[in-house]
Amino acid sequence: MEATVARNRALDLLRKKKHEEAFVRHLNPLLTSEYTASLTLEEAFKNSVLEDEQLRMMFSCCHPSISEDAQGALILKTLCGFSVAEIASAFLSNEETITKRLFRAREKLREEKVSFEVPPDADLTERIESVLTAIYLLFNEGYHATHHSLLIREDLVEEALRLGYLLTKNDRTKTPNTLAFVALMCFHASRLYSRIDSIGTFIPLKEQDRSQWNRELVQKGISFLQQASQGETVSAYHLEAAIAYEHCIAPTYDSTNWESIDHLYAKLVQVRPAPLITFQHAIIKAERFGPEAGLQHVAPLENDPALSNHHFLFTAKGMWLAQLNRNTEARIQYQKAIHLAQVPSEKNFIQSKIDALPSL
Amino acid sequence: MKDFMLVFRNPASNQETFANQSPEQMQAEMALWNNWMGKLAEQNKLIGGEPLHPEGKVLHGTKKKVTDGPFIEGKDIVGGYVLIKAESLEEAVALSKDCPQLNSDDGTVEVREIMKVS
Repeated sequence: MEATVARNRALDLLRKKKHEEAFVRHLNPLLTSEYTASLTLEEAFKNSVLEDEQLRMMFSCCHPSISEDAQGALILKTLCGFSVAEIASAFLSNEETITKRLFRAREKLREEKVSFEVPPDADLTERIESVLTAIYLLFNEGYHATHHSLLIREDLVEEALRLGYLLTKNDRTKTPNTLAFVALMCFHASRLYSRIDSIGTFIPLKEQDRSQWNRELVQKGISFLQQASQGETVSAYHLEAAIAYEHCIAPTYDSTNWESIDHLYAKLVQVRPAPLITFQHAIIKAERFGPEAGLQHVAPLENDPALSNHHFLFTAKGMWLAQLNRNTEARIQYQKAIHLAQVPSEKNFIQSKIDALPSL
Repeated sequence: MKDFMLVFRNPASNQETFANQSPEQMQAEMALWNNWMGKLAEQNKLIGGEPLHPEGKVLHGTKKKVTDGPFIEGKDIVGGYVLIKAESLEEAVALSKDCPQLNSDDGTVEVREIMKVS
């Protein structure tokens, strides 16, 4: 039954596609009327089996006139069929805010007379960038945000992957950048289920059960990364994907190629200088040269506003200090960290570290 | 091809019921409108139209006296309008028959041809 509906819908769209202009012309009054604007956007695309339509829609959702936080919401609503409640929960927001955000975004689409097409070559590179950024936001929301139920996290990760795959199927959007980006998502996603234990505690890379990693996704990632590396381009996504690749292919934590990852981070910091990347680099330094190297590498980050509100810098320092048997200092860092941790899984993790310190 | 305005009138009480629907009910209601207007659009017969808030003000004559409106006890108020194209008044009426406005017994659709003043 559903298959028939989907098929008929596909046929309808195909027929309309033959008369591109007529297709858009007929949508116009529906998009401009409050009676029909919201449903028209959704219905025309959400269940569409035509990848082309979805691709065009993706670019419309990520139009520069639409704010970044609204882009994600718009994608989830129009391309992934999420309800307003689901979007609100994905963005830790409420339904009213999301409804307003979607409303303003639709308004913009109308005001700017955004055309529903993949942008012309002149704008393509830049527009692809914003599409990738929007998808990456969705992906990270699902991948890193431990506040979600597993269900929503899975949905977000899967949808981000699906949209990424879609971009790799079209010759114009299949750029080295896109391919590297999708490779990166594949590598990360392969580890999704081993990052959290059954009671919601975050499991660090070192302690993850590598046999649970999704080998199929790793293989997919490798194949995308190979395709991405055929040209001259080395983007931040290439470097990030290469780093994730090294982690994915290491049979054990200790046999990870830290040297290679260290070099990749050194390049990444140049391409995309950011305190967070310097911090991640420090973790690699610590693995390669010991905890003191880690502490040394994060020293300049101490008062960086981008990191001082998050627990992870302090958690890492605590762990390094504990390894050096500087337990009193470690405890101070852990206590800073636990105050900053937002969600139970993180608090549980830090608490377990405090409990592991030798008692005073 | 002529242009027509379809004026939707409801008792004020209906308007309020409509505005206070749950999101799900609202969504179901909008699906009906989407369906009807979508069909018009496919035939290139839809020009546009908007729903209206029940609250408003009314200005009167040369004195430009302003009153709260449009409520008049027991009378219908305009809840929205749609502009369409049709060959004739008869066709415009026929196209209006499926309008969701007529899903309630006291909803009306008034069909008026737009006067071309040239």
